[in-house]
Amino acid sequence: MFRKVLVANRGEIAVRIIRALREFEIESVAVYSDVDRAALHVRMADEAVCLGAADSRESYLNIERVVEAARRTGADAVHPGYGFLSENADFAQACVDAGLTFIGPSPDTIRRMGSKTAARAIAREAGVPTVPGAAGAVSELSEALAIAAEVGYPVLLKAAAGGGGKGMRLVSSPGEMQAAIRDASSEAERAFHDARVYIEKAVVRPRHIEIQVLGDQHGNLIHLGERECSLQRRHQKVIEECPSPLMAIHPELRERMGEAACRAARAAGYYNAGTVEFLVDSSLNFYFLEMNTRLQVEHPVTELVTGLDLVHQQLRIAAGERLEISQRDVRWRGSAMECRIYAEDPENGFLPSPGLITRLHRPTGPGVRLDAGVYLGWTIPMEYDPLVAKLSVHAENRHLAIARLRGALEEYSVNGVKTTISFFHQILNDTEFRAGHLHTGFIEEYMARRGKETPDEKVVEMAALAGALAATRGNGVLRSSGVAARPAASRWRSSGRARGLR
Amino acid sequence: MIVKHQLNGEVVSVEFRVSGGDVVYRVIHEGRDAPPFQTASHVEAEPGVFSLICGLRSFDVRLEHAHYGTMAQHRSSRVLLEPVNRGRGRGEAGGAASPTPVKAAMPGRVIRVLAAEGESVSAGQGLVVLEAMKMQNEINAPRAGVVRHLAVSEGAVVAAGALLCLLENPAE
Repeated sequence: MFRKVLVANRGEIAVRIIRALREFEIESVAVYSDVDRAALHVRMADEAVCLGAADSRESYLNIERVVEAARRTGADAVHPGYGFLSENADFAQACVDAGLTFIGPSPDTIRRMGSKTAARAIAREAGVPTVPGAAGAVSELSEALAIAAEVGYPVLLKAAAGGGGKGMRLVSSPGEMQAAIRDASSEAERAFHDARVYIEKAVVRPRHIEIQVLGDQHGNLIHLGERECSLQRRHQKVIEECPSPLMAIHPELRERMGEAACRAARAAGYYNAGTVEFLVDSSLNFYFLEMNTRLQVEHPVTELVTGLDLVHQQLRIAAGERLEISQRDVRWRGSAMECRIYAEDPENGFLPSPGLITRLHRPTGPGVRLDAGVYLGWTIPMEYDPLVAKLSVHAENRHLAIARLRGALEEYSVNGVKTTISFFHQILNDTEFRAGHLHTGFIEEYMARRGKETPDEKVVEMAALAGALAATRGNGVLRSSGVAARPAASRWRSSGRARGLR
Repeated sequence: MIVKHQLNGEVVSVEFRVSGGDVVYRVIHEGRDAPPFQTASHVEAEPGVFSLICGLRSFDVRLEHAHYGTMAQHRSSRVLLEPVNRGRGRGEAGGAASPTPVKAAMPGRVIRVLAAEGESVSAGQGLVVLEAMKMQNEINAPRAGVVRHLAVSEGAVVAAGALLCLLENPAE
C-alpha cells in the first residue's frame, strides 16, 4: 500500500479522499490555489503545497505544478478526484513518467474512453447500443447541419472531452446551429482545453441511469449496480439514487445494463473505479452515453447501498491488489438518495452565488451522511464549481429515504450564500417525484408546474416576532454572532479591487 | 414596543413587551383588526436563531440578514421580512424614450463583450458574457437600441446588479 498520496483536487472530494487516506494510515498531501489557502482540504491534510493563482489553469489544471508538488513532498501516488485533471490522459501519463502511481485507469484507457467519440466506437464494437449521431467531432457548420438533418432534430452538441454538462447545447432547428457551435466550443475550450464538439440525436424524455464498475489490474471486473441521475439542471445532476425507481419495477434491467457496462469497460481494458452512463427511453431501451474514468460525485449513493467504500477500493486496486469480492458477493440493501447542495439561487435560474458563509448548521442523525468542503467563515470562491456539499441518506426503502432526506434538509442551514437546500425540500415532496416518474427534463417541467409554498399563518406570525425581537435587541441580526453581514455585492466589489491591486 | 415589517407587500406591525423569558405580543396586519395579546416563551438559542414556544407549539426561527431584508425560516418555511417603504411606489420612471440600463444578472467575470459602444443592437442580441463558478451567462439586450456607457471590459469582475451599459433610442 502507498505511504503518501497527493490529492490533486479541492473542495468536498479532496476532503472525502483525505478521510479515506487517514483510515488507511496513508499520509495525505493537499494542493491549493491562492484563494484556497484556508480551504478545508488544506487544513485537514498532513502536508499542503500551493500551486499558484486562482485560475485553474495556473493551479488545479497545471500538470507540471501538480507533479512537481508530488515530487517535492515525496508522494508515491496521486488521487485526481473528479473534475480538473481526473480524466486527463496526459496528466495520468505525466504521473507515471514521474514514477507516481495514478489512482485510476491507465493513461491509454483514459485517452480512449475520455474522447467521447472514441468511447462510443468502443461501446458499439463491444455490442453496447449507442445513441445515433456522428462518428467524430464536427467543426464545419455545413457538416453539422448535414448530420443533424440525417439523425433528425432535436440534436445535442457535446464537448468531445467533456462531462458535467459543460460545452453542451440543445439544437432544435438549423437556425440555432451556428450560435450553438460557437458557445459549446468556447465553453469546452475553457473547461477542458479542447474545443472539439460532436453531435448526437437528443433522446426525448430519457432517464439517465449509470452503472458503477470496479476492476482490478488482474482482469477481474464487476458492477455495483445503478444510480438513477435523471434529475438534472443545465445537464448537471442534482439528485441521485439507488435503486432506480425503474429497476424496482424491472429488476432484470439492472442485470442487463450491468452486464453491458462491464462489456464496454472490459473492451477498453478498464481497471479501477469507473462509471458507464446510459440513457434509458420509455421502452426500456438503453443507450451508452459515455464512460467516466474516475470516481463520480455521486459515489456515496452506491457506497450506502452496497456497504463498500469506493475510495478504499480505488486505493487497493491502484496498489495492485486483487478485488476481494466477486459479482455474486455484491448485495444492494435499502434505498439511498443524495442531493447536491450548490451555491446557486434556485429562485433565479440557478445563477451562481459565491460568497462568505455566515452561519452553518449541519444535519445529522441515523442514516445521514454529509460530504462537505466548507465551514462557517469560509468564502466560497467564484472561480470554481458551485458544489458546496452532498447530503446523502440511507433508509429501508425509497419512501423512508425521501422522508429522511427532507428531514435532514430542514435541519441544514447555510447563511450568507444562496443554496439549493429549500428547492430540494420542495421537489422531494412532488407527487411525480415520489411516484418515481423521472426523466432528464423533470426539473424544467417541475419549475413550470410547481406552486408557491405559503407558510401557515402561525409561522408567519412567529417569523415576524423573531424579526422584531432581533431588530430591537440593539444589534444587527448577524453582527451579534461576530460575523459582519454585508450584501454580496460589496464583497464582489472588494474582491475585484483586491485583484486590481495585485 | 412596535416594529414594522413589510411582508408580501403588506405592512405588518409587531407590538410586543419582553418580560424575562416571555414575550407578550400581537401581530397586526395592515387594514385588519388587531388580535388579542398572546404570550410566548423566547430565547435566542444561537446567534440569529430564536426558539419560540407559543401555546404548546415550538418554533425554531433562523434569521438571515441581507441587503433586501431579513429572511426568517422555520424548518423549510421561509418568510421574507422587508423594511417598510422599500419597494413601495418604486415603479421604474420614464417610458421608452429614456435609456434602459442593462445589469448583470449574477456576480462574475466578464469573459466577452459582444457589442461595442455606439453599436445598434436588436432586442435579444447578446451584449456581454459573464462567467462565475464555471457557468457562462449571456446578458442580452432587453430591447432594441444603441449601446451607450459600456461600463465593462473583458476580465472585469462585476457584482450582481452592476450596470453593464445603457440602451438608448437610435434618434438620440
